[in-house]
Amino acid sequence: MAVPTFQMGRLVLREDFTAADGVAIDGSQALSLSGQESMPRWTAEGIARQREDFLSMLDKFVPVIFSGKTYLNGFYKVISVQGDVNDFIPENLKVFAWSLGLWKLGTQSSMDIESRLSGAEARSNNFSSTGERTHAPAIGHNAYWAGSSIPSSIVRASEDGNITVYRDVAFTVHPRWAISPEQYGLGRVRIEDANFERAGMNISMDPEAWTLSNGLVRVVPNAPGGTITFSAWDSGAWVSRNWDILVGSGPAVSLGAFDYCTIIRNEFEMVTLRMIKSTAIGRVMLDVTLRRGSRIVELFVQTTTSTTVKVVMSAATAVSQLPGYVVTTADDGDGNRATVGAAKTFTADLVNGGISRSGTLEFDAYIGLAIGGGSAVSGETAADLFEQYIGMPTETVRGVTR
Amino acid sequence: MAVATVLRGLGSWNVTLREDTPKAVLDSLRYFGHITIQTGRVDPRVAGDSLLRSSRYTGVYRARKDRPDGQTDISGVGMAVWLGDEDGKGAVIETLTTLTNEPFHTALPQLLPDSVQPGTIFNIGENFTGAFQYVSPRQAIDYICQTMGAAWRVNGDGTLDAGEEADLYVTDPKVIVARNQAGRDLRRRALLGQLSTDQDVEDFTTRVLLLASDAAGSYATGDADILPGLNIYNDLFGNPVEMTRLVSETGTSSGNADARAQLQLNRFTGTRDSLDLSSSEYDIPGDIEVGDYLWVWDPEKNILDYANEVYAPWGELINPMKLQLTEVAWPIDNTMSVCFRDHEGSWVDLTDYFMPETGSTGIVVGGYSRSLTSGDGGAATQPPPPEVNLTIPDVVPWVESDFLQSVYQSDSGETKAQAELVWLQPDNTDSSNMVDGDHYEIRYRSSKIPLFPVTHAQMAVYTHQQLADNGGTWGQPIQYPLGEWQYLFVPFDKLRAIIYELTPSMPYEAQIRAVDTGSFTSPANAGAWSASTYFQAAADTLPPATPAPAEVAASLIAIQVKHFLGRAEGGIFNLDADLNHLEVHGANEPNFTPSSDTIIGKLQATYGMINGEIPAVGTFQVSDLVPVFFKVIAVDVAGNKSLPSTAVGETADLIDDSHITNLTVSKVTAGTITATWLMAGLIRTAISGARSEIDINGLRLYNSTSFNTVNLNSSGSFSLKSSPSGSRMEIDSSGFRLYNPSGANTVNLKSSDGTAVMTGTLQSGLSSDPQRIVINPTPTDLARIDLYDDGSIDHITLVNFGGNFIMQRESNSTRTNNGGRIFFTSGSAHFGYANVTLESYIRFDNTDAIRLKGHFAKTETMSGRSALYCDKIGGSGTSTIVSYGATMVGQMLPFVEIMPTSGGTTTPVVGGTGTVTKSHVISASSLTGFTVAYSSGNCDIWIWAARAY
Repeated sequence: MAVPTFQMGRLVLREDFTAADGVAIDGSQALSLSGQESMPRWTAEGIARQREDFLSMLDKFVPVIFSGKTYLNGFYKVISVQGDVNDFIPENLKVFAWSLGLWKLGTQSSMDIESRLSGAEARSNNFSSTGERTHAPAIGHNAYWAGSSIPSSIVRASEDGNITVYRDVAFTVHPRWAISPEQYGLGRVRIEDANFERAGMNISMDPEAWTLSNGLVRVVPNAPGGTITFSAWDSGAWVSRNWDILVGSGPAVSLGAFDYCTIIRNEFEMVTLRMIKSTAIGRVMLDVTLRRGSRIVELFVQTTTSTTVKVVMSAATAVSQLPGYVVTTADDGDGNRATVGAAKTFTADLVNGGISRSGTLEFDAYIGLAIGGGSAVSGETAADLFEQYIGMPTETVRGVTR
Repeated sequence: MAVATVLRGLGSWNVTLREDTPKAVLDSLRYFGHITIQTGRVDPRVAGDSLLRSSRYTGVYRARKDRPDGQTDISGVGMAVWLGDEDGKGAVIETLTTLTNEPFHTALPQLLPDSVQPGTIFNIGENFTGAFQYVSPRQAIDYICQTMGAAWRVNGDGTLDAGEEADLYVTDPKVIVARNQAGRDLRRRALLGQLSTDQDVEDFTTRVLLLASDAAGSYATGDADILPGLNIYNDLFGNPVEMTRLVSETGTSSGNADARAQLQLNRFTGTRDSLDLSSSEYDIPGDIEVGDYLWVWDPEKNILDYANEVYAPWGELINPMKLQLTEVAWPIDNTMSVCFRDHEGSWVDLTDYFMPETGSTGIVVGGYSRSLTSGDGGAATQPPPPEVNLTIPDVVPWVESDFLQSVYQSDSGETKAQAELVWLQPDNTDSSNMVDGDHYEIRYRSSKIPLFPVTHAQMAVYTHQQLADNGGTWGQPIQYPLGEWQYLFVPFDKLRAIIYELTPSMPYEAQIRAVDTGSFTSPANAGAWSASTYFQAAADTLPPATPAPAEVAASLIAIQVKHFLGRAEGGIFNLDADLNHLEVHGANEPNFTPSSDTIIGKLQATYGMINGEIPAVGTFQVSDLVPVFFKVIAVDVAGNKSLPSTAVGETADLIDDSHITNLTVSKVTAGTITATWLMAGLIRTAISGARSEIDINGLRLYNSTSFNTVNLNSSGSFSLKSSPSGSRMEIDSSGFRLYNPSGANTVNLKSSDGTAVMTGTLQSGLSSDPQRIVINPTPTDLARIDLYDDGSIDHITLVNFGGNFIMQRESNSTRTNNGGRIFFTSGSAHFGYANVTLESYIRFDNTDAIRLKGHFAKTETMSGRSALYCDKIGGSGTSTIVSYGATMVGQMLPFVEIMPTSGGTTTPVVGGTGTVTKSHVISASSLTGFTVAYSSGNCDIWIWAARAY
């Protein structure tokens, strides 16, 4: 008999027979669950991974989906996590017994998902861009509310299905929307470590074996071919292009494989991966951020000392320069155009297809692919992607009562 | 919490020593010694006093508590206590320290006590003016720093650092505090811990009114208003929220009041955002110190600032608020060492004896936790006024150039003078600014010495002895009696005062002194009187009120004027008290303007008559026989005259015939003489000047210069002269003469020989008359006679042109010749014709030559007396008869030439005898013509025949 499980956010845990339920004096409904992750359902590495992810769940807003007690499905906030690690040395057995407390926020019938958008209307930039504030709820949402008027939107075909991206969302509005717990994960941003989707933060990661994806964009490390491989979902398949990140002056050299990797933010709506590269002059830090519904991946490079940082396509491709970004001059074989840009002033490499900034300690950039190339629809052009980068808000999701 | 450090405050620390601490160690802990806390283990025997500055914390030991369990708590405060503790105790500034426009970096060292030495005090480019007394150095320094927008701190080694915040603290934040976020990247650190934020508008202020008093008790006000864009709140009715905060401060001078008001306003123009973070990271001071700025971000609580953009260590672009770390409280854990330095500089290592602490580190941002308020102690200074008044005001300087004087009408009706005296605020005698002024005292009196030179007329009424008895000197022979001092008090903030009730035109002298503030324990000090300033009160320039019209009664050739000394607006005996007399004016029309020509007389009218209600009465002779109108003018003792009263008319009674038996008068100056005859040797209208005279010799008229213009003599002779000179006409027995404006005789018709001389043009008719003779048409040009006919465009002129006589017909407009012409010169005589294109004449030269110009021609109509026949005719055949066209009275002498023409022959005709070559011949002649014979053929015949008989 298959072991029943339940899913709490990204994490799949064993569903025990008992779920302690109760209502506090203030009316809040609490649910206490316990269980264990053990062999042979998991390998030893799997149990360690489960433990790391589990202990990172505190204070998270999560959908919880039971396979058995489906009547308990809903949105919860994790209010306590605790576990015991049991290693049976001679037997080489590992057991991670856990318990957690959940505070039930509600179901799609009783509550809204509120996306609290923060950040400036347009991030500080040197190109007089006013930015475009976009927001992408999960696939399958409905009852979208974003103030007195409905924002325009585009629909992007993703690996998870069609995802709606709302455009020009009003600055002071925090959109509310509805969705079932089961669908909440569709279109989410996910980080996979050795093919396992990770839920935790500040966890051990293989710097050469991760995959960051939101169904539209996928990023994987690619040391031999550069630094990363950027892929975009186009017509039901991934189309890829290798990118290199170079640091140093005289001349800048490729970062190649990173030494360390961890997750510093891990939400359905946004994941940030932090990688460290040890260099002769100290360290280089690369943050890679991907958001739900986004066509671009955001990069942020920090160096120990002031130097040159460059983001360029591994295979030289001619690009044209426009304010804030460069874009390939011609459509590629798939009919798309690669683009890279930044909010602050950069030097364009029109021959190889990249941008760089010299004498800097920090460098922000994004990589994207304009699906449709020169005939991209509104919202998908390289210029649109730049504006979306400039206006990209930070999203924090809360469950709010209707 | 073991150690609490507070921005601009004392803070506190507490260390618990174990019960097994040796007594010798405990005994070595003397109060006001210093404790140092370091990260890691250090040996104070080696490090010595370097620990004071290098330690994580240095404090002053002030208290000890021995607990029941045998442990001992020692505690104290931070190094700022050496500038003054929470009660204001310390090295209080007792001597008034005045800073005048003192640069910041030199001002602060003047306020430091011996227990704190100047460290690094930056020159922030600001100057301070103010005074401090009876305040602690911490209050004074804090006051200056707040006013100048600066910061200060006392270092562990007892030195003071001060400057702008960027000089002392980290103003480009390196630490981020955010809810549920932590981490560290290469630039910034996000603190891990439990965050709580407070935000309120309880202190929100839109305007600050600051009421300040300085050390001397002078009050000043300052105000500051919020920028409109910062007030985003409205009341129930949509009006901007109005929250005015009243702030009272002592020790603030007027020059700093507005700055202090703005400083206070800046604290309250937004929400009060504070943040408390309880962190498990103990060694926060390694990253941030009190006073440093840090980023605070909690978007869900609206703690954000879109003006800032920071990439957070947790991989997010944030817009945090920049706030200053105001408090840090942290435990002394077992990784730290504690050392004590006693008053002699000996060090004791307490690391082995103190009880390590656990717990979290608390930081407060943007505000002060209430539990540490007492430790702040940094509120606005409250310096009391000085208790000892040691300053003496210096002599007050007059500003005589700004004195103002005027006169006014007193209630009693007298004219009084007033003078506004002006002076400058003095310093104290020790050259310090006088900040405790209370009032000025002015005394004045009438002066002995006139300000203007004495005249002999003034001295004439005194004997030399009297002048000497009155104190007269050679320079000032007349001296007035010296008046008594009159006193006047003026508030100290005034620099002008008006003295009233002065006598106009009198000299006065005045002195002034300044008096400062006194108290029960310290009497006020008065400065010395200034030297006298002399001034003369303004003269009376106010005229009396306009009097009412007088009552006038007529009598024989006189009128009686009676005035009840009342004003024109009504009432009697109410004219001005300084009235001296009334002027009575009269004239023949009611609207006359009184002047010296209309004055009839004066009536005495004094204040005594007004007071005694005695009317002024007077009688004035009036000779006019027509109604006379009277006006009165009031004149005061200073000679000021009022406006005239309205006029009152009256006519003096005439003296009738019955009152005259015999009248002998030397002259009649007015009226009409109606007698039927007058007998007189001479009747003239005046003795001299323009006049007429009639006497036995005749009638004579004279002009204003007594020139006899008309003289009709009874003998029959007469002379008429229109003017003695210039343009005039004269007729007398010599003839008739006209003169031009310059006196030249232009026309003279002499009776003696009938000679008529005339200068100018003589014309027989008007210029419009067609036929006229004009003699000398241009008097200043050539002598000429023009003869005009009946309107032709030409006329005949006779002119002497440079000695040459010309008579010609010429055009009227241009005088160009256009017809017959006779022209005589000294060498020739021309008779002929000339116009602008042709000329023909016969000329007789003085060489007996006769010259002709023109061509010969027959007369237009030949007659028997025509002198010449000229013609050209065509001939044909062998002969042609030439006819003169008239029967000549004498034989013509023809001359003929012939020329063959087309069809003619050129062969000469040989005729007669011999061989004669002739082409033609006159074959017949008569009085009417002749015949020309020639060879056969066509020819042209030229004829020239002159009559010889």
